[in-house]
Amino acid sequence: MRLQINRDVLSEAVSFAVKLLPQRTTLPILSGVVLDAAEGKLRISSFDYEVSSSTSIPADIEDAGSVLVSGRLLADISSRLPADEVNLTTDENGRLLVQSGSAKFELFTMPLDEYPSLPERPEWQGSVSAETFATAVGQVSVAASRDDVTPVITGVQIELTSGQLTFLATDRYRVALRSIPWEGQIPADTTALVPVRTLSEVAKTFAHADQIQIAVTKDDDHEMIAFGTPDRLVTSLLIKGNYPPVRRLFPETVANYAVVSTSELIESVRRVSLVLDRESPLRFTFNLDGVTLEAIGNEQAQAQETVEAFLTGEEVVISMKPQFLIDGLSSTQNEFSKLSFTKTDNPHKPGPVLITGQTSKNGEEPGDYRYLLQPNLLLR
Amino acid sequence: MSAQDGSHRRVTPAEHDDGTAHILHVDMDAFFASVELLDHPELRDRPVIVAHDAPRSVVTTANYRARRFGVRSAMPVAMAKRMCPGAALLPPRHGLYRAASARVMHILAEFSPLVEQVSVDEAWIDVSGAHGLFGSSGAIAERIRERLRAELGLIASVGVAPVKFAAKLASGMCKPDGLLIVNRSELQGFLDALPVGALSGVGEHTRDRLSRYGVSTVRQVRELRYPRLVRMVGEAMARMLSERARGRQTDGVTPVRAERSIGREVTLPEDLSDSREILATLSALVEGPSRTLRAQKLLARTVTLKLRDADFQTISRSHALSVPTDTTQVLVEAARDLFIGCGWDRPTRLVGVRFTGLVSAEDAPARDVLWGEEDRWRAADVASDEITQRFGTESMVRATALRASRRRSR
Repeated sequence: MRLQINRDVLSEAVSFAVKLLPQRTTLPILSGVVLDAAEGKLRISSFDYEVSSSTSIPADIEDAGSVLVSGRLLADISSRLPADEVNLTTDENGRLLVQSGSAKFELFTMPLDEYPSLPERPEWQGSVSAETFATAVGQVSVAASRDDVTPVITGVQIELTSGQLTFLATDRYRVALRSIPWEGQIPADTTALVPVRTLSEVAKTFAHADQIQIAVTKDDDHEMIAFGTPDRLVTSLLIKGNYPPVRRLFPETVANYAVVSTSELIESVRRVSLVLDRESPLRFTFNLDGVTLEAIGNEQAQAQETVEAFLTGEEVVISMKPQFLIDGLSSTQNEFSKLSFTKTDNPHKPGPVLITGQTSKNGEEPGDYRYLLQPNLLLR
Repeated sequence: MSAQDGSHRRVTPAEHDDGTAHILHVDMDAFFASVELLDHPELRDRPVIVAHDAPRSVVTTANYRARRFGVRSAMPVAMAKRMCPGAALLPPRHGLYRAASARVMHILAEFSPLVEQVSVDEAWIDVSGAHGLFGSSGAIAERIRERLRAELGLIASVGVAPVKFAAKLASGMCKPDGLLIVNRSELQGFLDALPVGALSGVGEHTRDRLSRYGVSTVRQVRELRYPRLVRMVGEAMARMLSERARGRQTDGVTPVRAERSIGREVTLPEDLSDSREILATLSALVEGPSRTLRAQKLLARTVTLKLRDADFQTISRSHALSVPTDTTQVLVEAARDLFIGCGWDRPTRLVGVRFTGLVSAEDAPARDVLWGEEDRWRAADVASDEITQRFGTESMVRATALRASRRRSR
């Protein structure tokens, strides 16, 4: 193998492949990345039996060939190389030589024949705008659980119907939901529970493309989702298990609500919660004067601020975790946000707050993003 | 320690009270058997044993007629049957006993607000504020006994003393159907004569250590110098012993929730070695106590698993839940995790599960979550409670427990 390639292109592709690999693997060979050079392209792939990735980048190929090297090492090296131009060469001892400017690296390679073969590019079921896809994943993934104790909620639930993709995520404290249109024709409605880490990486990296192709496939014993652009392919096994039926938690209509300027409220929440201990909730009073934020943090400090809010219905006093509220507000991606206050049968338990975006103070909401947050108990 | 057949019974008349003892310990006599007899008057004059008639099950209670033959609580049923072949064997009906217990406690509460229920069949009452209304402690004790007999048909023994532990010792000594009053001036003499093992909290281990130094009575303990006692039994035990030996107890009667723990244990018909079978038994076992939690509107914070192997080695493991619960599934999972976590791999003779840290479901703080795994199981519990209430507890079991119920019916 002998080729020349642009440093930044190489670095980006290798680091993407490595990012999708787990931090630790049981089989050392799975921590490698495969380099395949042929016909003006260098393909970089990784696979750990759960997630696979392959990225093709343009390269100046003198001799075709394939090699398996440590992914993390190659990623670290290629991000620090001194010159724009990189030469990759294999020597007679089976080592990979990386040369850039006057810097030279020799990497030991691993036996390729022991490396598992990657899942193939499936029959695509439809495509979606990469930009919209990235937005939706970003909006929803904030609510996914990072706690491995309950694996099902560490995934984003994707519901595929003909014409629409819906993303759902929850960590028990909140639920986020976003629907987007797609050019998809599938025989029957399908769901796919995708690890949030993989989905977020795919969304970020594929955002540069125009369209993303999607397919959900089922084998005898495993289900898989594949995302593709002309140059890239990522497959991921789905998380097994039943996703909790959280969609029904969203209320139909709520009469009691307040409309706020999204950025103004976020700024205020950030300011006032400076005095709060971590994880402590912030108290909000919505009335005709606006919304008053009160933070009673510890013995050392407290804070208060009032910002504009347009209340419909009765006065509301609730407390919410600052970060949870900010996650919801910023994900509406609208100038205005509407907070709808629901009630529960249990007098001790405050009803969830529904957060949606609005383009104007009294305008109708776009309605494609919904974020439901459970307030905390009022302690006073 | 106390002879269960009442052979060394000591009693005093109500007039013995000199106004220095205000704490009553009311202990129902052969409670489960007596409650059963209310339902089976025809067995009144016969020996009665309350126990499951299964191989290796143990006696829950026996009436005094059966105890005369040597039958004792916790004795294997097979042995009890040999000792007393004429005894009627009745399966325990815990719901019935709980209901009777509630009626007993209701009567006690009429005499003083300070009632501390210890278990289903015993309670302490502080009557120091009740003398104006009801007379001396002795008179109150007799009145309580009369009312329990007249209104519920149940017999109680009552110990009266200046401190709780002595009142409990006294009720144990005057059984059955007795009253024993220990006035303050008599307290030291009363305690001095007792074997040290009679004090609650003194187990075999402590008894052995003391007996190595020739110490066997409370009096001998009292006469030991404190540092020497510490060397014998350790700091904590020494402090407790030296207080008790002098008739001192600082904690008074504290009204508490009716039940401090709810649990069930089962001695298996044959030793189980297959962990799947033990897990199935465990699933089945959790069912009853968790139903009790819901019926009493309580939530449990702690789940304790108890296992005993064929050689009577017993272990117990506890787990505190992050949120108190009454959901069977959550409790089953907690018990299962404890089992898996303790790496138990011995032939198993007994499996038990106990819920503690009970809080009232109404007082429990609402949770800050939108939804929980529990939500999905709550409806199942409600439906299953209704079904078992109408058709009996055997009418419905968890599928994971099926293996256990099949085995039992074999």
